[in-house]
Amino acid sequence: MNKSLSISKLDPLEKIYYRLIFDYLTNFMVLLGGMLLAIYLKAQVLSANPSSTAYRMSLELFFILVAGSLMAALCAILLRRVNKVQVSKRIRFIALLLSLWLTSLAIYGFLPTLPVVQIIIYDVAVLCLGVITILWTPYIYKYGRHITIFYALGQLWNTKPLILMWIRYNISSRYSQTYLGIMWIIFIPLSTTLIIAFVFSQIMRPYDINDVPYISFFLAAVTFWNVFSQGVLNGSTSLVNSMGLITQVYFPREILIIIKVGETFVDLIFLFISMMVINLILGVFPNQNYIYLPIVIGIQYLLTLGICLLLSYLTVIARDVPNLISVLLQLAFYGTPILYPANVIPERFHLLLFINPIAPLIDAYRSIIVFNQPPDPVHLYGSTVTAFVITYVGYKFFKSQEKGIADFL
Amino acid sequence: MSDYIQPVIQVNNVSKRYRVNEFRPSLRYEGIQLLRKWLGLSQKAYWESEPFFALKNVNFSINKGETVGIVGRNGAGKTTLLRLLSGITEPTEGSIFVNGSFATLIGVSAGFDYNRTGIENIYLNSAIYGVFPKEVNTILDKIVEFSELGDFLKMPVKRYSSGMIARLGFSIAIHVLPEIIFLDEILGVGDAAFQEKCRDKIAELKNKGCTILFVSHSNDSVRWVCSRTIWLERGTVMMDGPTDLVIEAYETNTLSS
Repeated sequence: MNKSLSISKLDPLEKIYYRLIFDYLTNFMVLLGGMLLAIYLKAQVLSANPSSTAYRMSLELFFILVAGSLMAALCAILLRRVNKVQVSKRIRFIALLLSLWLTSLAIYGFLPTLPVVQIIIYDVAVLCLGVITILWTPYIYKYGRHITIFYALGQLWNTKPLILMWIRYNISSRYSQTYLGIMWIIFIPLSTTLIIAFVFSQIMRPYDINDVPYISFFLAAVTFWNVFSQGVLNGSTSLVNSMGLITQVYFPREILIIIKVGETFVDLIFLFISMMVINLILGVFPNQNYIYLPIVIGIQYLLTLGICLLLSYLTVIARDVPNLISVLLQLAFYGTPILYPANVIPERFHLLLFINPIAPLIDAYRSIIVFNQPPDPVHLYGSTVTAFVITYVGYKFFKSQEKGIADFL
Repeated sequence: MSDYIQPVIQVNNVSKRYRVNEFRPSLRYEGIQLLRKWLGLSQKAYWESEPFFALKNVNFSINKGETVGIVGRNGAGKTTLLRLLSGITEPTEGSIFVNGSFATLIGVSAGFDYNRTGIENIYLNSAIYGVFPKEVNTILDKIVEFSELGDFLKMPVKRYSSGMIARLGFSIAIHVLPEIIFLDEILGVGDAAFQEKCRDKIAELKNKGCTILFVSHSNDSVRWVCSRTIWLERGTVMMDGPTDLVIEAYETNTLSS
């Protein structure tokens, strides 16, 4: 029980510098990851046309982007050193605009033939990553409480027993006043699954899926999709739903999101068992490729967590967000290859697949469980980077806004 | 340096600002407001309204082992102060140091999860204070005994009366052995016997060197428990000193107005 608390604006700034530089470096690493992701996506999207300018110049573009992002970070550090005070929002905003302008100027100088749309896309990429990782950084140091993101993670690690206990209580109490109890975890998703599977396997038979039973084919994807969508919905409303707790006691607030997302992954155990039973009946047996499943599930958990960290704070500010999320999830259900195999999507819609981080995961699950093949690492790479970047950015954003939550609720 | 006492709580120039209209209007309302402002029909949009200072330039420091009462009328900023001290929100200006582990009891519900039973809430609440199940097992009997709730502990907390919740919250908070306790109105809902018991327990904790911040509207309780009292009035410290003097001044002020 060692929960000391010191909030101070009077922290010697010199001490903060080292932390700041360290933090900017970690941010830089994240930016690097993000840019690698961008290049990966670009290579995928433009692979049809290797002679295009953007494809040939991808390395130069990458360096320009990194230089632009670093410029923004340096501007912020230098301004801080000159003023010896908290850098105001306005100055940071100007620094960002400056770096943005320099980036687009550099791209234009190096690649005069590049279309304007491309420049705009890169500007938006720098803007998003720059805003979230660089501009919001100082808030974490506002009162010198959160030393680095690793300190926050250490604090979180100390509350591990609380998280485990809370998940257990939530699971057991969710169905405490029902007669069927824990069976509802399986019944609700399974009933809709079976109806859809029946409709698509018996009434519509559009796809060639290598003589695999359609129910197994569909179930392998929809089980994990349900966990994802439930996780996003529950996680993003978790702060609003536990208003009483937040305004009364202090604990790291991200615990609430972790337990809500964790709950859905405990549900996954039951869903997975029921899926296995159905698969056995249909003649699809477990195989040695199941050893890849924990890795893919881990990536999915990280991705869900990152999305929830970003969305839960937005939900606190505007209660419209959950409604919007449910609409988007509905759209994503049909946009992701769940009802149909990925290879039936026409070439011109492949961009949709590449910007959808959950699609490669679903594909990986399906190839492991149904087609008895190891997942395609090239496809998983994009999802992994996205999951890490989103979680990092989301956690950082969440920690920087954490103290405002109680005021907004 | 041996006679230099490091304060456990230090509050320097703390201000907490809220907007008066901290509500979430619809997009339509905001649009109309913006339009009205452009047309010159109203001077200010709602988001430019006068800020409201729940606390303004509050300064004090509390040493280890002190029992400090905080008195003041409704809306004087007592609960806001405790929220700032326990890290639930952060100050708009100024700095706060709280050095040591603490337990917070703000309001009646005391941070319980209403759908869980009493026993589960004991484990959960202690874990939030940083005492994990293995250690809770050793103090569980003491908590159950002190709260006098008996078989009610197997019921969900949502069926409890406010007095029962206060009993449970208080017995958890004092048995996890924090160095600092923030108590807000927790004695107000208990019956006379329990209040008496709580006062005895607080006196015992005081002897052990526990620092207590005690917010109450009952001047007698404050007199009984605290050696020092801070009187808050509209977010500023009106008086800070020995309990008898401050309470006397506070009572005369309340009666005269």
